[in-house]
Amino acid sequence: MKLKTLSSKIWMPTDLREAWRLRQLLQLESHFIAGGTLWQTKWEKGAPQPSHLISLENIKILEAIYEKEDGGQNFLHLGALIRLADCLRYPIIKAKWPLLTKAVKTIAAPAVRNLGTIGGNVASTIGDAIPALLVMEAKIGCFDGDDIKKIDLDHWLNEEFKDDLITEIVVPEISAPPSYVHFYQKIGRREAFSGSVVTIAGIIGQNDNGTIDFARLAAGGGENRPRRLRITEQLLDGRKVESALLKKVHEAVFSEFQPAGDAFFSADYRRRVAANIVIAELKKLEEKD
Amino acid sequence: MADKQMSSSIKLPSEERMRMSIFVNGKKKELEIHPAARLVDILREQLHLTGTKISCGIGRCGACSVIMNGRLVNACLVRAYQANEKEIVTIEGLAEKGLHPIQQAFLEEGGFQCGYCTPGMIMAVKAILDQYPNPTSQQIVDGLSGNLCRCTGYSGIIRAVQKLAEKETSRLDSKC
Amino acid sequence: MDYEEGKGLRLKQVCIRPDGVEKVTGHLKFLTDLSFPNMLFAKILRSEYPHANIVSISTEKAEELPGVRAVITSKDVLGLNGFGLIFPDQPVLCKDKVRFVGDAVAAVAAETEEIAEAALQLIEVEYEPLPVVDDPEQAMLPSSPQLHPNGNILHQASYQSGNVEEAFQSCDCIVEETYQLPRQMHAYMETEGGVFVPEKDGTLTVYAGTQHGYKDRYQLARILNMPEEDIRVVSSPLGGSFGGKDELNIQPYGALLALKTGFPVKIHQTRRESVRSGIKRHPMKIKMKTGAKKNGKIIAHQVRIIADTGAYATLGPAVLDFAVEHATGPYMIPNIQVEGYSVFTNNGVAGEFRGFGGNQVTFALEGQIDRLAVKLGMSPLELRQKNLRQAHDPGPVGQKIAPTDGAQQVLKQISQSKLLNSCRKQDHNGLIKTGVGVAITMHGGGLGYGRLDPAGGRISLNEEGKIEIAFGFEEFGQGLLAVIEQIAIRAIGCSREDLHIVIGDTYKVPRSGSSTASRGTSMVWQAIQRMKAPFQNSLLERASQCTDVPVSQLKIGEKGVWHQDELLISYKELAKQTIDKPLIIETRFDFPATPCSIPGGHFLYSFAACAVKVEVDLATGFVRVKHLEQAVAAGPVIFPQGYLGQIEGGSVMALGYTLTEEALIEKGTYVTENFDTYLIPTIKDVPLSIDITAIEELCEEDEYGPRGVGEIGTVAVAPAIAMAIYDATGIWVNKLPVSREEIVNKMMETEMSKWLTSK
Repeated sequence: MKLKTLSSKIWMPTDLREAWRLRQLLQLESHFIAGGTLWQTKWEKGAPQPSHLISLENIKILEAIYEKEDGGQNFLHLGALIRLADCLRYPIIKAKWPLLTKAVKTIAAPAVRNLGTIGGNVASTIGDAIPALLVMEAKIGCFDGDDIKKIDLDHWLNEEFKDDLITEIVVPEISAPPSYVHFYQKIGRREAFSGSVVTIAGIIGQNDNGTIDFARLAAGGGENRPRRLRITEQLLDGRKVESALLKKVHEAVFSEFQPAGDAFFSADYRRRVAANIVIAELKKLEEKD
Repeated sequence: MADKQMSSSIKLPSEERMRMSIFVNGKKKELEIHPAARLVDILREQLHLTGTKISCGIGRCGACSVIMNGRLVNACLVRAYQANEKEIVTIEGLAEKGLHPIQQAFLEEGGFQCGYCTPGMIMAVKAILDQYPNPTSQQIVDGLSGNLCRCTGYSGIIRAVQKLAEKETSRLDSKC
Repeated sequence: MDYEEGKGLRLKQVCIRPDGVEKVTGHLKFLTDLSFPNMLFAKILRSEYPHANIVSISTEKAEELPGVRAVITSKDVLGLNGFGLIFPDQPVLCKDKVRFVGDAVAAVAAETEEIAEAALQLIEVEYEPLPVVDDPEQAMLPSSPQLHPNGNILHQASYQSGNVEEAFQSCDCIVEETYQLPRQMHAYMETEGGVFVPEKDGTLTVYAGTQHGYKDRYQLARILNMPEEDIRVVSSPLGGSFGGKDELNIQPYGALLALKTGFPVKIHQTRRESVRSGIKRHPMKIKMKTGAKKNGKIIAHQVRIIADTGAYATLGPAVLDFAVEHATGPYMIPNIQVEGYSVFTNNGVAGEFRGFGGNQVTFALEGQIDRLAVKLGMSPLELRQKNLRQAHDPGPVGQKIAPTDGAQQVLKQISQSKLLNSCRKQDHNGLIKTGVGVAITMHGGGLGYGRLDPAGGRISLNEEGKIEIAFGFEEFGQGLLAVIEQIAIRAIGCSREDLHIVIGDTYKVPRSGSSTASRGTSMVWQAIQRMKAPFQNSLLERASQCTDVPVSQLKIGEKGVWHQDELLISYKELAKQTIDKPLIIETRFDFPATPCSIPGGHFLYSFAACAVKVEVDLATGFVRVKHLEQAVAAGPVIFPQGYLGQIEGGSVMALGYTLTEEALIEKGTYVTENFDTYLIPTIKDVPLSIDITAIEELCEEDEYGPRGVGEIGTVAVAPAIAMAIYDATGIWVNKLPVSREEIVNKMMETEMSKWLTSK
C-alpha cells in the first residue's frame, strides 16, 4: 500500500551480467523491473514490495530493434525494453507484423504505453500482446548468466513462472497470402483502457480449393495465461468452411478454452465469446473465398 | 566469500537519497531525493507545482499526465530514478507567454467543469497535437483514452480539440 | 423580466467562465493543493471488517513511532461522537462496534504521510467479527442481526390514491417486473481532503470541500464541542462532488487532530480510501405492477421499493421519500400504491447522489411503460402521450405544484428527433443489431415540504468599489460562478469586471442553504431578483447625492453610474465617498415547497426526454451508444456552456451507470477499489456528439425563473438505453449495469444458433 515511496532499494545495472548477478545475490528478495506500470497496480492492491528492485532500464542492449533473416525466414527482434508505444511507431512493424500492432494498440492508454515495455507485457504472463505473439510463434530470449537462450514463448508460458531475465522477443514474419485471415480482438469491460475479459488472436488460411491449410489460434484474458487452441486448430486443418464445421469449431473452442471467471464475467461467458469470435472470423474467410 | 567478490563487482545502489536533476518547464532542478519517490509528489510537494493532480495513483485516470522527454506519461507511475536527467513539461509550463491555444479552446468550448482532470487532459491534448497537428477523430479519442473526466462527458473536450484541428486545417489551407 | 433576454442565448455562444483561466492553466488551488508551514499529515484507520465488535484498541506502539504527533480514538472526540445530515448515527470514531469497512477506528497525525501510514499499521485493534448483513431483504426479517437500536429499517415511506387492487381487476393488460439498480460511485476526480488550521485566537479554519459549508460548520461544532462562530469553513472549490461530498467525510479527523496537535493538519485520501469510506448511490430493488385498459389508459400502478442504505442514515430517508414521490413520474394514474423501505446493511453507506433516488425509480417506471406499450401493440411515445400530465395537473403525489407544461414540451420535442427514424445499419455478418429508445422524466427541485430549505444572498458595494455578490454556495464544476455572474450582470446592468463574487467561506458569505437538489441556479436568480431593485435604487441615490444629478437621469452601467452616455461616477469613487455608510442589501427566503403536507413533496419540477440509438454486438453482448439526444425543460438558460455541460456530463455519467459502473461489494467488502476495476466511461465509450435542446418557455403564471439542471440530465438515459436494447435484440433489461453475459446467453438460444449454422 505504500506507494509514495517504495520500501525497495533500486539497483540500476548497466549490463546483463550485472543484472543477472544481482538477481543471484538477492534472490527472492528482489525483482526485475522495467517500466513498472503493472507492478504499481499490484502494489496498490497490497502485493508485497520486494526489498530490492533491479531496474533493467539502463541496459542499452535491451533497446535494440532490428530485422534479421535466419534460415530463409525474416524475424523481428524486439528488445525487451522497447516501449509499447514504440511498437506502434515503427512503420516496419505495422507493415510486416500487423497483428502485433493491433494487439499493442489495445493495451492500456498512450501514457501507460509510453512507460510500459514489450518485455514487461510478456513477463507478466498475462499481457495482451501474448495471444498475438503466440499465433506468430514468437520466441523469447532469456539470459541465463552466460548466454541468451531462445525459448518458444508457448513453451515458456507453460512452465512454472520464474523471474527470467527476458532480453528480447523474436517474431517471425508470416508471409501469408492475402486470402489469409489475421485477427486479434480484445474484449474488455469497456471500450478502452480496461483489463481484458477475452483476448483472442488467430491466423487462418485456405488453399485454392477452399481447404484450410493454416490455422493458429490463441486465447487469454483476465488473469488467464494465454494458450494456443491446438485442438481447434487440428479440427480446422484440412477442412472446408461449412455450417457443420462451424458448429463443431464453436464447440471445440468452448471446450478447449478453459479460462477462470471473476466477479465481473464468468468462465462460460469468456468461452462463448471466444468461440463466437472465431466463428465470425471463419465466416470472413469464406467471404474472401 | 563469493558474496564479497560479487558485491565488489556490483555497483552499489543509491542509498536512501539520490542526487537528481530534472528539467522542469525549461528550468534545471537539483534535488536530493529517495530514488523511488514518485514524480507526481516531486512536482507537487518539492517543486510546488500543484497543477499536476493526483487521483487514482495507478495510472488509470490521467490526472497526473505530464510530458517527459516529449512523451505523455502518468507522473504517478514514474519514479525519481526514471525521471533523472529528463525534461518534464507540466501544465504550468504551457501558459508562460499568455494562454496556449489548447487552453483557449478549452475555455471557449467548455472542455472542463470542475477542473481537476483538466491539467492532465490538456497535456494529453498537447501530446496528440505534437504528434498529429491535424488529428482525426480516431486519433483524438485514442490519444485521450487514458484521461478520465467525470464532469463533461467529454463533449466539450472533443469540441475543443476539433476546433484546434480545424484551425490547423485552415492554417494549412491558407499556406497552400 | 431578465430571463426574457436569456431566450436569445444560443448554446454556441462563447462566454468564458469566471473560474476558467485558473482551471485551464492549473493555477487554481484546490483545497487539497494547499499547504501551510509546519503542516502535519493525517491518515485514518478504517475497519478491517464490515461488521464486528471492537474488543480493544491499543495505540501505544503507533504513538512511539518517531514523527508521530498524535493518535486519536473515540475517547479523543471532544463533543458528540457522531455525524449525519439528518441524524448523527455515524460514529466519528467507533468505540465498540463497526458496521462497515469504511468505519473509522483511529486516526494519526505525523510529520510525513509515510510515517502516518506506517503508524496505522502499528495500531492494534482486536475485533470480534459479527455476521455480515449484506442483503436488505434478509435484513428486514426479524431474525436478522440488528445493526441499530431501532432495528434495520431506517425509513419507510408510502403513497396511496384510489384502489389499485380493484383497478387491476378491470385492466386489459398488466405488466409486472422487478428491477435491480446498482451501487454507483460518484467518482469525483478529486478525492476527499483538505487542511485544518488551528488559529492563534483559538479558532479553527477548515479548508475542505463540501456542498454546504454552514452545515459542515454545524456538524463540526457538535463534534468538537466548539461554538459554531469559532469555526471557519472554506468549502470551495471542489474537484467534483455530484452529491458525494455533501455529508462530512474526512473533516472530523482533520479537525480533531489539528486541535490536539496545535498544528495545521492535511488529509488527502487515496482513491482506495475514498472508495472504501465514501458514500454511493443507493442500490434499489423495485417491484412494479402496472395495468392499463386496451385503449392505453393506465389505471393502476403498484410499486414496492427496497433501498440498501448501508450502515448509516446520512440522507437515506430523504432519498427514499424522493423515490416514492417520483414512482409515478409525469403520468396521471388514478390508482396508485407505492411503498418503500430504506434498510440498513453492512454494505458501505449509501447517500446523496445526483438524481437522488429519481434515477432508480425512473428506470423502473419507464421500463413498465415500454413493456406495456409492446404488450398493447402501441407505440411507446403514443402510450406516454395518452397518460401524460397537463400543465395544471397536480404533482405525482397529488400535491399542488407550480403549473408546468414541461412533460408535454419534452415529449413533443423528442418525438421529432431524427434519430428515432434513422436507418438501421446491418453489418455484413448480421451480428450487430441497432435499436432506438426513448424515455422521459420529471424531477423535483429543492428539498421539499417539511424540510428547512432557506436560501439567501447579499449584494454590496465593497470598499474596493466592486459590486460584491455573496452566496453560501460552492463551485464544484457545475458552473455556479458563471451563473451568478450572468444573472448579476443582466439584473444590475454592470459589467463582469465590476463584479466580485464571493462563495464558499463561512466568514464571508450569507446562508444560502446547500448546493444540492438542483437549487443553486434557482436560488441565485430568485435572490438577485429580490435584491436588485433595492440595490439599484440605493446605488443611484448615493450617486445622486454625490453628484447632484437627479436619480431619474442616472443609469447603472459599466464601471459606474452614467449620465447621458457619460460615466458620471465610478463605483470605486462612489465606494470611497460613501465609505462611512456601506451599501449592503441582503435577502433571506425559502425555496418554494408545495403547500400540501407531504414530507419532501416538491413544488418546482424540471423535465427531460432522452432518445438514444445503440448497437448491440451479439457475439460479445457489447452495447455501444452511438447517438444520444436530450430535450430539457427547466426554464430559461442562464449560462449556455454550463447548461450544455451539465446535460452532456449527466448523460455520460448515466451511460456509465447503465453499462459499466457498479461498486461491487461481496460480503460487505468492496471488490472494485480503484479505477482499474470501477470503470467510468472513457472518451471512447461515449457517442461523439450528444445533442441537447433546451426548452426555455415556462407557463405564463410561473414566476420562479430558471431551474437548476445539475440532476435532470442523468435520469432518463438508462431507461432509454434499455428500450433501445430491447428494440435491437428483443431482450428486456431489468438489471443494471446491463449484463453482456445475459445478452450473449439469450442470443445463443435464438439468433446466434441460426447464425452459427448458416453459411
